[in-house]
Amino acid sequence: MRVIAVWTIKGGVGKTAAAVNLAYLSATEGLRTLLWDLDPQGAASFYFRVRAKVKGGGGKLLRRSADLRPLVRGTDVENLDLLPADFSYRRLDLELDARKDPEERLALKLAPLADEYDAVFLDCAPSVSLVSESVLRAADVLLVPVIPTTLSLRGLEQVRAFAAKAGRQSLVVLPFFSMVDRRKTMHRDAVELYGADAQFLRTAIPMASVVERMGVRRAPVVAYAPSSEAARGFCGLWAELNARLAGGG
Amino acid sequence: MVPPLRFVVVGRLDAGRIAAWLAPTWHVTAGRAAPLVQRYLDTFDWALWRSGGRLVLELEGDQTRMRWQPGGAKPARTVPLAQEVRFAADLPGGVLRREVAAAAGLRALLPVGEMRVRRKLLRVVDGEGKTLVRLWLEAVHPLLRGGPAGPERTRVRVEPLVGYARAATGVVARLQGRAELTPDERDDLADAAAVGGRAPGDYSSRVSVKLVPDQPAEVAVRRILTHLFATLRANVEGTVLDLDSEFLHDLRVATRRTRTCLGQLRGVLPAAKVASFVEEFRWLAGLTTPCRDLDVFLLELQDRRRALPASAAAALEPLLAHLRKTRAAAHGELAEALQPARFRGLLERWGKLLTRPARGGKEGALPIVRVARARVLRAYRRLVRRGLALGPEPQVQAMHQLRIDGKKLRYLLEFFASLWEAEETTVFVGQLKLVQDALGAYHDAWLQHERLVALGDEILAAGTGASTLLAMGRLIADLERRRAREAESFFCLFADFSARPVRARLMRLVEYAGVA
Repeated sequence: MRVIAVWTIKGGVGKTAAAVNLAYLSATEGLRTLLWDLDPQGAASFYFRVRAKVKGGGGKLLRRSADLRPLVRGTDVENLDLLPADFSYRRLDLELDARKDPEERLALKLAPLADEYDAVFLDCAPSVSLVSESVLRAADVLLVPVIPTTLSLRGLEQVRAFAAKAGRQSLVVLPFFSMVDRRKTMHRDAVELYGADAQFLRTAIPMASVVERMGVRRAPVVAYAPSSEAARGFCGLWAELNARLAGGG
Repeated sequence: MVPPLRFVVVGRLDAGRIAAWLAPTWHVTAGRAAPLVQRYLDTFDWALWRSGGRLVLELEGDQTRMRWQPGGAKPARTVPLAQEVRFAADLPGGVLRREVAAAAGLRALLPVGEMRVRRKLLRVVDGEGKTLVRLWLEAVHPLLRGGPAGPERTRVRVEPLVGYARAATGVVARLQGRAELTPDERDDLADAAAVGGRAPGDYSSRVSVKLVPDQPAEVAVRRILTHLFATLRANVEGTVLDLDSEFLHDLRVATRRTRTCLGQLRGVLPAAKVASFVEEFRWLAGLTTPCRDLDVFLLELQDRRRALPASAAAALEPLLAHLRKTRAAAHGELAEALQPARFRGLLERWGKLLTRPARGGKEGALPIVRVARARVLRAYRRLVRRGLALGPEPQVQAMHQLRIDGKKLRYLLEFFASLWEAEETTVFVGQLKLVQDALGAYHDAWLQHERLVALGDEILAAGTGASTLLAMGRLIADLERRRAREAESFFCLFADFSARPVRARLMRLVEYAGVA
């Protein structure tokens, strides 16, 4: 089971869009996939029409004895299950802090699912917190969406530093450009400048209204507009991610 | 009680009627669904079915996918396919492959039946449009050689989604008791297989013969041999076609068991009638040896290669290629030999002898439980005597003979298992198996060592690089170490096996039927 976290410090950079579309692609490829919506806003849950509610809330879920399986919901997509968000996740930090080994807690919760899933996507809230630390300890791969702007790139450096300190030694950090607007000089320059950064995935996800329509269609863009530039971007990102993890690309 | 999830439709039923039954609590929308062909796959010995799972190759338009429904309440796993699948290892990586491989082992995934399914999908959705339950209104028709066979059946199938069990229960409650629906307890796999003359579980390599303690030995032994003959015949085609390595294995074991039966139960059948068959079955066993030995070697080398880093694994490739070629030639010779008159004649004459009523040998009229007891004890004593006579550094031949003695004892125990207490038999056979496994591993290590040493010149002459020769050298050294380790392990296990408690267990076991 491979755990892929989609996280960065900055909000509104396309984290959930990436997590939802990549999880969908993973499932349609035949991999048993779980998407864990860790963001109290519950956008990923909303996109899959699953009620953002967890019985007992985040506190109960984090108990050592609590089994995640009864909380899992099957989506309308074959092979894709979702662990919904809950508004109580806004206090997940405090809940973690009250427990032993808070950094290891998410990994501990996921371990019993190893035989059941090939891939787990963690859609994380944008913050630096104990939850982020726990996510980094649970993840094998950290995908970092980056808008090609100064602030977003600055955020990437903070993420890299934090991941190096808090993540597992084997954690693979893979940034990629998200919401790229080719009409903007700054975006074009930044993409070109970071072309030499070997860590960066080559595929960039364009800024597109078709992605914003996910909220209306309540489905991944790769499902309802597969030939759009954005969908092709997510497909390319998924292929590149797999190639990178297989040692190629 | 688990509510039924499938209902046979009696008469006519359309989607609108179902939606009306579920309204107003449940809202139903139509989903997309195309007709498809479902090809059920299983191993020849039904390993997937025995695990509680169903593996189905689904052909829908130009799409092909594999669907695996594991046993228990786990959801189905599906994977799109781009290439032909013969073994579990050919499946795309993931949970599906892992689970299928764990059940199927080395066996090929063979088609056992086909169904044509015409279907409509009804999605039971909540206020957000989220599917809670899928309802399939489907007409299923078994296929034989691509054409429909047998009657078509129409049914409603309820497919719960993970986490929405309550909704599924509610939907089922609405369907139950409708005059148009009756619970469907049929098994699609069984229906699909039946038109081709097969049934789930119709083959197992295990000896399973129900004997009665006081029945005449001749009748009992004839039953055992008839069972073994069926197993032997069942594996001929798969061996010739080389569907997987286990057909040959099972054919070989059935032959060996037959030889043990004839040799260890002498005096039960008329000696004059079976004498010629003893020689013929020895010939058959010898025929299968070269190919099987190479199968074992190749399987082990492939396992070993998987555990190596890429560069070391690549060094083994020329050796594997050479062995595959040699194995293909050995299989060609075996397949040819299994066709001509001598083999077919053996099967025909042996079949006739087993079905024709005949007077037994001099011990043929004794109760089988008495004969079984005497022969098992004799085989055990011989094994123990020969084992205890081994020196600290035994000859390979002596170890091999002991392995054969162990097999004879084990086969006898399997033949007569129904006469004795099942748990005691299982425990004793388990102890014997430990000894045999050590002897088997010892012998394989020796055989493979000898083969590798003999292959050195051939591999060199073929112009293979030094890395392969070095890899072979490492393998030879490994095999030497392994043989020593297995010998040590054998002596430890045999000390327990030949000790008083195990002997006492065997005595208790064979006395159990208490007839003699």
